Amino acid sequence: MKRIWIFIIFLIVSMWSMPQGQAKTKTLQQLIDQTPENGILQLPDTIYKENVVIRKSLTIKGSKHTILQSANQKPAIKIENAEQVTVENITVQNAHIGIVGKKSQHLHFKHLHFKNVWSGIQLYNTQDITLKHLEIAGIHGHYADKGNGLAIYNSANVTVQENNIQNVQDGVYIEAVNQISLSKNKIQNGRYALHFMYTKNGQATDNTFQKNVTGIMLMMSENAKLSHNRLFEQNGLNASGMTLFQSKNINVFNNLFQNNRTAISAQNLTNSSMKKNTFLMNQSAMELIRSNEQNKINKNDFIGNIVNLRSDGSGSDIAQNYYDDYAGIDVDDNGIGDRSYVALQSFGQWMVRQPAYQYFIESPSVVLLNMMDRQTNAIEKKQLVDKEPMMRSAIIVESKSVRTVWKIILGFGMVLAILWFWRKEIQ
Amino acid sequence: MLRSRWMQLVALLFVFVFATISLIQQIALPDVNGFTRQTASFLNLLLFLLPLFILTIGSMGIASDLESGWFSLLKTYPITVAQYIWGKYIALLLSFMLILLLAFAVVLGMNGISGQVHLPILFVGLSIMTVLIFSAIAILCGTFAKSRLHALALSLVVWAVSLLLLSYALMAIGTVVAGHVLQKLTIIMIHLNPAEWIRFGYFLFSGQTSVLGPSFHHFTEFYSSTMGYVLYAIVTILWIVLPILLAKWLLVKRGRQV
Repeated sequence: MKRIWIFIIFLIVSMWSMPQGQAKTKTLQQLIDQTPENGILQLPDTIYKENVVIRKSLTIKGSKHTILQSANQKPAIKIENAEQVTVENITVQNAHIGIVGKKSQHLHFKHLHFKNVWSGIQLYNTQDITLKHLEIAGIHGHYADKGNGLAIYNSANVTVQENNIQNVQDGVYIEAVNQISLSKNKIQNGRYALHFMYTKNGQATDNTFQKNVTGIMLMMSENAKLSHNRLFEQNGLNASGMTLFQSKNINVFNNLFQNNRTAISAQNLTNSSMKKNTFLMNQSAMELIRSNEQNKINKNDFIGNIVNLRSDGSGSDIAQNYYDDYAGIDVDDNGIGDRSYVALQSFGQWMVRQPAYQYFIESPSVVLLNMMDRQTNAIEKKQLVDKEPMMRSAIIVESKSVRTVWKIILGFGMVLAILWFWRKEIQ
Repeated sequence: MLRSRWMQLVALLFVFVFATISLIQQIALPDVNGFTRQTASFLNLLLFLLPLFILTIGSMGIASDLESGWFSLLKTYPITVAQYIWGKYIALLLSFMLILLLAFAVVLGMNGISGQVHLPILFVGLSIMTVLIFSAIAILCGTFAKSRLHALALSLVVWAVSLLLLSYALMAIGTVVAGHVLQKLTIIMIHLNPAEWIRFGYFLFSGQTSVLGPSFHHFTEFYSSTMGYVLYAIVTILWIVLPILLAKWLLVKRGRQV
């Protein structure tokens, strides 16, 4: 009996002490506050449901299942006036905004996973930023109801590398940023994969953009290099691989544009070049609006596009491109066609000026019209004329060949059966 | 109808062109989804060749009967004008279905050999729709014509108008009217021109309506709904039934005059 009483007392004491133990579990904010300046905070596999603010230099390292949730409209993590902050290996989920950084320097975000967030990371007035190996998946719905995956305002020296972003408004929104490098990112199902505004010295290399409204939207920016990117299937209404608007010194080279509504729409561009790009099976490869002779379009491959080049009548320097529909010959065998390639098509020009004409694209009437254009435009000297069209493409289009026996038997069996039936009918 | 040398030549030509274009286009370019030059070539081949052959052969078949007095002889048999018309329509339909089947079989065989030649199922459906609609129009052209030569000329005019001239006229109008007027005229033309109706059907059923541009967004959005599909089916049926009924009415009227 005595033992039973001791056991009951032990049980009551244990139950009484248990909630006190829980209350002692520190919040993430408390852990951050306790971490010394430039210290490292190692987080266990825990779910934190709070919003935290960082105002000092520190490194936060999560574990495999360290999760941060925010139950309100505030950012899950807010960084203000900090000198050096690194956040690694954390999952931020069900938050309105994952991380907001303001007036800070040396911010490094690596291996972060954002799930079901309106916006991933927003940075204002920051410098020396690294955003690397981030996975961002936005909320479902229309683009207008979503935020940007990454949004960077009035900042400098930013590196955005090897991130995977989807279902957001703009994958990376960049406004008034100086020196930004974006490489090896994969962005899909958004409005604009990259959206540059008033940006200087930007660089986008080796990225993949797929099924966005526009792969790269670059507006009112200067000194940008866009190279080795792959832009696939931007083919919705008003879609384009790249839209370059009112910008100068933009170099677009070695990119692959495949199956886009318009691969490049260059509008009011100055002193820019588009070189060694491959335009494969786009509806319109290149649209030039309010262009000028300072813009160079050289050594590109135009293969399988419905319309290669179209313009509003303004000129550009077009030379040494390969066009798969070029019908000229190369007698001196120097690799350059002996007569000019004229990309000018009545229909292409109409389509630029009056969008309703788009209905007729590659219709039987337009196909005939284009054939007539080729004859009548042979004398064109200025507009959309390449005087040195290349005879050979720099790329090789690969296609797989697989033999299927049942298709051969069925196909030719049907042919024989139809011919036998036909012959029997004649007799 | 299959005994006709012309029909045999048409079959040979169609199968050859269909197979070679599929082979050349698909070997030259990678296989991707969407409205590409390959799919446009297929679609245009379908719209250029099939209506031309169906209209000329179909209309001359009926005109020949009327010109040679074969139709008058048939009237002495217990057969109604409607039965004659529908009989002619079905014969034309089956003949061209056989040619299509032959072309598809060749493409299937080639697909088995090279693995690069594909025939999307949508094109099979559109080909059948083209045969159904243009066979009915061919019958109407035949009954309208006074002789075989007249039937040939008439079918060529119908072919040129529906494939080329209406589009050119609209494009020319577009240079002097506002964009929204051109858009509305184009929508009217889509319904009144069988070739455009079939072309629009391709974009609709392949989910490629965005190819037509933002000007036609609301129009294509409506036709992409259930109500739109029902309306598409109704207009298609009307394109088959109305020419046949008109042809019957014309033949009956001509019979009375004789």
